[in-house]
Amino acid sequence: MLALTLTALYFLLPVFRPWARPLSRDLKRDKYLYLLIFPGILVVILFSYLPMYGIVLAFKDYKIKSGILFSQWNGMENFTRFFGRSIAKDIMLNTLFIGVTQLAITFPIPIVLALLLNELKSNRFRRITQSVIYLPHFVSWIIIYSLLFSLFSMTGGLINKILVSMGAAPYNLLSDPKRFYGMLYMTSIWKEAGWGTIIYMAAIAGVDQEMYEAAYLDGASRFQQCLYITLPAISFSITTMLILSVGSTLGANFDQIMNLRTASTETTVARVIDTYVYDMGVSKGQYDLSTAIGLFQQVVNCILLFFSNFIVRRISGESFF
Amino acid sequence: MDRPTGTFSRNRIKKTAGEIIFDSLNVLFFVLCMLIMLFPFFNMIAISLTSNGEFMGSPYIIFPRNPTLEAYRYMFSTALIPRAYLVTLTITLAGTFLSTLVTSMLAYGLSKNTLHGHKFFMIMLLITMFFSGGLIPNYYNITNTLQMGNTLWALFVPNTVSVFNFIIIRSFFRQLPPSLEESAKIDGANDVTILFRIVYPLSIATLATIAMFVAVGLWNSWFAAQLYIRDEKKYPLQLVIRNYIVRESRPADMQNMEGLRDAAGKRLYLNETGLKMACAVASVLPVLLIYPFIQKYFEKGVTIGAVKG
Repeated sequence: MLALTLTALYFLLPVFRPWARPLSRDLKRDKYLYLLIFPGILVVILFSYLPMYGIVLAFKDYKIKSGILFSQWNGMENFTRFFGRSIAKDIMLNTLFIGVTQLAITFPIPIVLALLLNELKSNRFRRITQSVIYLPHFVSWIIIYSLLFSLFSMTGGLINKILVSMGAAPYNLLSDPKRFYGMLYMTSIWKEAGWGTIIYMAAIAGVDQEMYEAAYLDGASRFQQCLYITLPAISFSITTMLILSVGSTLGANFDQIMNLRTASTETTVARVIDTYVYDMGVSKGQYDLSTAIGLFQQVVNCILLFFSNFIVRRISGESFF
Repeated sequence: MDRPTGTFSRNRIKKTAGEIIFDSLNVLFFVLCMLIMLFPFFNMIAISLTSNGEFMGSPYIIFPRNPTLEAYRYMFSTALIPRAYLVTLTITLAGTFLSTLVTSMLAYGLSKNTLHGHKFFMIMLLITMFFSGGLIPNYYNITNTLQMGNTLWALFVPNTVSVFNFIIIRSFFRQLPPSLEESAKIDGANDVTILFRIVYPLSIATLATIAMFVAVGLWNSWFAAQLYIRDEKKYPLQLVIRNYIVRESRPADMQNMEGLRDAAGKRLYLNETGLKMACAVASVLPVLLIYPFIQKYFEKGVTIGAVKG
């Protein structure tokens, strides 16, 4: 069925018209090129396109013994079932809240860091700093939980031990629902803010040095140089990063939440669409319901991506695609 | 990144008082940043080296007075951790090799605009960046349709083609001078020979960069194993650590922790936090040790991507 659809698309879509040379001649001429792309195309078909057929699960009442193909269609019932649940509202709100606040809080930090790094005088010190602040990016969220555990565990964590030895009460970071969001923001910043500077530093490196000299001769202060030369130079990178981040607002932190949630937070503040899809689908086997929720989320993300691209194009004239 | 110094004003001799204060505070700020980045790792290693007596006895430990490798010795005496290491090493090496090879072959084939159906394949790949089946359809596909559940293949084969890496490699291939290939073609070489004999030797730096990104991703991956692996003997290191530290269930292999004895027959009393941290250190140490040497490649990789925009 998939092959049929692809073949049909191939002949129907106008983009292929200019390539209306005899196919057989090209096949013969480029047979080795086709041989080279074959494994890659096969992998994409098997692991990206074949599963797309499973999306029909969202509109079916899945029964294990009937499989996907022979399960009964049930229209939009999976969607109404999810949105009818009382927890649906909490899940949507949590997802939206975490996505929006995390984006708003973490997005500007790499920009500020890059501008500050650029002001460092010693090249050597800057390179060392860059090496160190990139490092946490390469560490998994599992290790980050372990690091938090070594610092904030109620019984053995260093910071809590110090607090207790000073006579203060231990600080319950890991399993207090009230502190969960703060923990998400702080760990995101710790892990990714340094690495986030890399793309801005690359853009800053491309700035013509004569611009700074000219600005200096005109009497611009360092702050003004930063504001009127460096910042505009990285504005395209900022736009690109912003569009990409907005496009994944609703599902960018699955790995983080999966590893930072604990028994007391996983059914309250830490429950977002992604973790709910995982819990319902993989742990409880409700394939049809989870597929429906996952599909809903993907569609929203796609809309957000195109919407943010559209808005940014309207405002700044730059766009990603 | 070798680049000229940032703002021109830093070459000036005279500085205002405000600038001096700003520069000092800026340096201080980044020193503080580095401390915040590095201290947690230092603390983790310190705890893993602390003996049980000291851990329980002193109010807090910045660095242990009598460091001991007891936790590490115990960890490697279990069957679980060395086996998990082997699994992680296998999927990292096999997956990195496969992914770099297949993705670069695909990128080379599609770097030729004259290929019949070139645009079709490009669109086909780009769509997967924005839309996928989703968690459950992917899960169903691998476990039911393809019957790859509980195999190590399921941990690295599905992600063989990364479209992002594909785009980076393809844009690199496209800016190679075409004359190189043309002359080889006149000599009768086919596309496969050209790729392996001429193009690959010219792209070692780019491919190495991509390979390192893939390798770190595979080394840190745990979710695929959580989804597809039922047999604990096939768990990669990250998943073992996740179950032990994040999910707080002690592995079956470590249940007899209290009974461990040293060479002289004396009982060792391990402390659980120390053992947990030793496991975490074991998984992160290879990354920390290799990182300084490969860091410049990572920077370069992102820059290649950034140029492409």
